[in-house]
Formats: sequence, C-alpha cells, structure tokens
Amino acid sequence: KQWYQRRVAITAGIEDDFRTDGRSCEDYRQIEIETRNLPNTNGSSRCRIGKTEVLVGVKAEVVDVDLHNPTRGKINIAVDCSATASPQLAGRGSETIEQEILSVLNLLYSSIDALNLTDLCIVKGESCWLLNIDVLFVGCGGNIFDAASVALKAALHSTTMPNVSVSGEGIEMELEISDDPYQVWKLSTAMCPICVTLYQEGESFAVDVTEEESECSEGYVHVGVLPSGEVSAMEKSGAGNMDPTALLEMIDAAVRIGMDIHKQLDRHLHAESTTATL
Amino acid sequence: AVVSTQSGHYGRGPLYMKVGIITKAQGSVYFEMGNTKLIAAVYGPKEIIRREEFSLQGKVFCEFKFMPFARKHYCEPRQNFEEKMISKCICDAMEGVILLEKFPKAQVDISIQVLQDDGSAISLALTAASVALINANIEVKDLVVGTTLRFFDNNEILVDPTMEEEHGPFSRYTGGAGFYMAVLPSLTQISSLKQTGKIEQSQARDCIETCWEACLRLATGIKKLLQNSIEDDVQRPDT
Repeated sequence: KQWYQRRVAITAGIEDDFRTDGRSCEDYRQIEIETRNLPNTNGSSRCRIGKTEVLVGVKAEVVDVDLHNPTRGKINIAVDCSATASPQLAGRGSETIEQEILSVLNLLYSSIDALNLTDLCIVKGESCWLLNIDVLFVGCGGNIFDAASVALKAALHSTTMPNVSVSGEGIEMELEISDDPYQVWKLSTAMCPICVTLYQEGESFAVDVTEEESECSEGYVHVGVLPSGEVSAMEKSGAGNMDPTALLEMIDAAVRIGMDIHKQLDRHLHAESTTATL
Repeated sequence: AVVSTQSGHYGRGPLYMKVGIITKAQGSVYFEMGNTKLIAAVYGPKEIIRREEFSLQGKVFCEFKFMPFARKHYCEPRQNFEEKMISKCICDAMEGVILLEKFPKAQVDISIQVLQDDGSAISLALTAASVALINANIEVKDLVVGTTLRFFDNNEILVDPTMEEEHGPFSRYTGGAGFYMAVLPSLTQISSLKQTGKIEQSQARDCIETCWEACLRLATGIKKLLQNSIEDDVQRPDT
C-alpha cells in the first residue's frame, strides 16, 4: 500500500511539472561523456546519466559484402547488460531488457541515412568493413535507451578507420590494411539519431526517468531525433494507451530536447577531438 | 460462424473476416486482406502454468509467427528476433485493453500465425488478436484496430501497402517512411505505434491523422461483422 501511495505522489508531481529530485519534466540529468577510453577498439565511449552507465566499443573487421547490397558496408549491434548493473539482471533476467535495447538501437540505425554505409565499402561486390558495435551496461539507473543512443553516437564519432590499399585483381586481389595510426579516416556521424524516450505518467509525460518513475508509468515512446529536427524513428511500447494529442505533444518535446542534446554533444565531441593528443 | 466481406475500407479493398474457425480455441479469427492471410487464436483464461508467477492480475502471453511459406524467402520454424519483438508489441497492446483483474491466477495465450504475408501483416495481426479475444468472451476495454501506412517524399501516402509497396523499389533505401498504428476507436486512444524512416514533424502529424481515419473506418466494419456473428450464434447454437 505504501508503494501505491508513493506511485500516486510521483505521478501527481509529474503532472504538476515537479519531480522527486526537483527537475522539471523536460530536464535531463547531467550527461557525462568520455570517448576513446578503450584502447583495443577503433572507437569507444562511456556515457553516464545518473546511475546509468554504458560503455560502447566499435571494432571494425573486413568481411565479404552482402549480395543484396554489394556497395555497402555493414554494422552489427550487440547489447549486454552486466549482472552487476542491477540485481534483477542476474542470470537470465537481462535477456528481455537486452533484446528491447537492441531492438530500439536497430530501429534507429536501420535507415540508410544514419551511417553512410557506402563509405564502408572497400571493393564493390567483394569486401567491405563490418562494424561490430558492442554496448555494455555497467549500471542501470533509468533511461537506458537514451544513454545507449548517446554513447553510440559518441563512439562512432570517435571511430578511426584504417586506410586499405588494394593490389591485384580478381582472385589475386590483396587487401593491405595500414598500421599507421596517422593514416586514418573518420566516420561521418552527422545523421546519427539520438533516442529520446518519453514516459507517460498520468496525464503528463517525463523524459529521463529514474527507475522509480518508470515503474509508475503506463507506456512510453521512443523518438529518434536527428540534428536537423527530423524524426528518424518512433516506437510506442509498454502496456498503456495514449491520447493522440498527448502523443503529438510528446513528439514536439522530443524533437526540441533531441536537437538540444545533439548540439551540446556535437560541441563536446568537437572540443574533445581538437584537444586530444595521439 | 459467419462469413462476410466488408467493402469501403480504402487502401486495399475489402477485409474478409471469419470468426470461430478453430473449434478447440476459446476464440479465433481468420483475416484476409488482399493477399495477406493470417489466423489468430486465443486460449484461456486458464490456470497459470508456472505457479511461482501467481499474481492478482491475469497474465497475457503472445506468440507471433510467420509460417515458413509465408514470405518469398524461407522463414525458419523457430521464432527469430524480429518475431519475438512483434510478439512483445502485440502482448503490450493486448495487456492495455484486457481487463486483467477479472482473471487472477490465470493466463491467456494468444497465438498469431501469418499464412501469407503481402504487406501490412503486423497491424492486421493486432486487429486479429483483439477480435479473437472478443470471440473468446474475454472482457476488453475496447477493440484494437491497426493500419499500416507507407509515406513517400512527395507527401503521397499509401494505406495498407502490399509487400511490394512496403519494401519494393520504394523501400526506405530510396526515401520515405513506413508507419503502423493501432487504435482504440471508442476510447480514442493509441495502443501501439511504430515508424521507421525519416520524416518531418508535420508529416508525422499527417501520418497519425490518416492512420486514425483509416482505423476508425475499419472499426465500424469489424463491429458490424462481430455483431452479425453473435446473432448467428444465438439463432443457430453450436454444441
């Protein structure tokens, strides 16, 4: 019964735009980003929002192209929630949440615009780069989807791809991958989306929810936002029904917040890369 | 059981619906829209199988599957990742309408099999699941009706696209967006929603509105068909 009272209190607070930690409904907690923290990768990042902490590593390998798309590279995203992240995730408990995060990240990056996959093609019809993107959660404190998407964009931004020289033709074709740390090129992340998840609480909604707040909500929407303010993907999840006018308001808010996050993230990443020493 | 067609649903021509086709299931329905055919069956409420999962609210389990012969390429008999996500989506949508407090310590199994996929399968599956629940006499808040849209760069919208229209030359690789939405017509709420592909905010609004109208039209037709089927059952009771 105590939990029920607390739930009512949290929901009522959000409807009045006042949350338990003093934030407004559209305020994010402080987002901490660090890139190039994992040395054995092509690109990596660490993102922390409150108690949620996620590590992303990008490793590139040369593979054969997919016959249906002979001029494009590939990406493969994998999600892992460490058992230390949260007590409910020990054993097989993490499977559902991992699958859900993977589904959202795949949705965001399913569009051809997100990452220019033709840049990843080495030899048309033969070889291309496969980016193995691994997302690891070491702390779960609410708002895991947004943290994962921000960390992913940061990791891709920090990714350096080695140059490849092609010699010979046909069967005798040989690829030589350069070891030179200065002979690298960077991926273009201008069109990488960020996920803004809005949780419906009572008659209102909130972003960047804590675990407690997420348990009070009925239904949530993931909105993938591009820096230009376009919506790249949308998905409503959770058992709960939404009013269409409320949904349109949520999309408005998501676009506003998403564009703001993109701007600040881009500024931070740019500053980091210009001051980084190799 | 009643056989009837419904015309006037713009997009892809009439929706053919037949309830009670699976005699062993408490509720079932067969849907056919163009070349997309699927069956939904509901078993329950029945005692919950795993006793540790005792709860004061009923539980809903859903399984969505494309038959191996449903699509152009072979679909493995085991559920793949995409089908698991669709199952979860349908489960969430149904949990939002079923009155779970009415059957504590019990579970409801929903099984949806797509016999032939010619586009718009997921939204049709959501509708079919809800009709099967009503056929099974499980108390629900409202009918769930789903529609799919294909949205193009030149602001053209196709309602309930066929497989070719959804994934063909006009696929996301050349622009536009795919969108499906499930709606509760009487409560005027959105139950489920998914959009892939890039669109602007104003276009998102247009998509939602068009989908809404299409869903409401479909809902009136389905309600009438359900009414007919109940009247028939009353006049000609089956054992």
